[in-house]
Amino acid sequence: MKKFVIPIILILAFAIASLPSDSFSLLRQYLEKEEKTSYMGKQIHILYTPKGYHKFEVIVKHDSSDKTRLEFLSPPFFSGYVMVWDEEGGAVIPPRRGRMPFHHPLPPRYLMDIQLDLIWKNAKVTQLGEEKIVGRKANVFLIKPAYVKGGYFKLWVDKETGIRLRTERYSPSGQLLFSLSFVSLQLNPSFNKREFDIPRIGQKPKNYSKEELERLLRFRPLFPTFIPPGYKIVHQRPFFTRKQKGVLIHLTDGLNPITILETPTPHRHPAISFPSQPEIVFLNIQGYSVFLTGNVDREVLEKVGRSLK
Amino acid sequence: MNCKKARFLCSQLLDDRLNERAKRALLSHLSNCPHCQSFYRQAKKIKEMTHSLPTPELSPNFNEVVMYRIERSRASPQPRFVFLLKRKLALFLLPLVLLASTLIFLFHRKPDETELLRSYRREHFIYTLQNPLISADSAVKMLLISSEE
Repeated sequence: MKKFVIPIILILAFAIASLPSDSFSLLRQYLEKEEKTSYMGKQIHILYTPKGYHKFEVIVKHDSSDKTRLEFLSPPFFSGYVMVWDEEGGAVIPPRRGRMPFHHPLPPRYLMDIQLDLIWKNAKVTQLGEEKIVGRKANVFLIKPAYVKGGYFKLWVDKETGIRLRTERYSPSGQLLFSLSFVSLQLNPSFNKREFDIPRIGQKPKNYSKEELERLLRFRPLFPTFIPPGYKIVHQRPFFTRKQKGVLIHLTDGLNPITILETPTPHRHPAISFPSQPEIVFLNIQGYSVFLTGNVDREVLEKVGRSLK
Repeated sequence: MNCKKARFLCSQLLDDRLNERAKRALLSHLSNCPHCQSFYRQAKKIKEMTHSLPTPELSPNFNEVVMYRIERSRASPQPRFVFLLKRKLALFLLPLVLLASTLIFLFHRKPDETELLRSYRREHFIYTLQNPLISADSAVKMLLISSEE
């Protein structure tokens, strides 16, 4: 018996050592690296719309403690705006004569870890090859949802530092929705720490239980009985506008979040359309007006909507 | 006595409706005030002229017409508020129309879907912002959406 144990162990060790390097673990390695590298770069963001595109030019400053600062250069409408955020939240700081007169809060990124875990579970990652961007070697990854027909990403990740040099997001039908790309990059620059000071405004959004929602809103909210494979409800809270109230339910597979809004106010199918935005599915379920949106196939949204009980 | 009162009394003097005391006081004023004397003369002249005009002849059926109208108004008396309405119709109706249109606007206004959907999309992107793959992009979108409000 002892004769076989050692060869078996040797064979297993050889098999493990000779396994091809997993592209997913490569991506994980890169995404984790990003948090530890400080950089400054000029970034171009192109948002495609049915009528053309919006182009944004931004200077990105990212320090090693995971604080980020965006300084908008163009279009003229956004020129002068600054965004700063860290793990706990952030703010949009308008220029002196900006259209938004007050500091605008950005939400905390407390869901980031949950979403990262979901990506590891639900994404199908393929390494497409290597490309050079801003003079640096980058691995190109295709990240697709493994279980649901949804939008997908292409990432160009710097081989050395793990910085995402380019991101492209596609609709489920393969239409390019946006492209985000560095046009220049400087590593380990010296920053003025004051640039990353964040005015603390707004509160961390609370996750409400079903009972709390019912008590607050005075109607019984519906919840989906069908959740697409790989998806998870990560947040639910009441929603108020000046004249209406409802419930917001967020679910995600880490790649393509879906947001459900239910309101007891009767509505018709929305006639307005927002270019460059994912489509809204509207349903009337048990007297509730239900809106669903997300960068996934329409059928998935409808199936989730019709399962609300 | 001042000139204003004297001129008022002049017409009564011409109609011979003044008592002795007022008549004496007026004549005393007229003897000292050339302006009022002139006024009195003119008034007297006007009165003489009107007296010299021929008296208009009434139509032969004048009485019948008047009586007929009186009878008719008695048969269907016009309420006072109708009279007021007719007289100040525009002033009365205008605030009424304004009030009615305000009430219709307030109570029959459709739910504002644009506002609802804008807030909804904003919520969706705030949430999308937490996605580690697209955080920077969503930040841009959020700014775009916020500025639309």
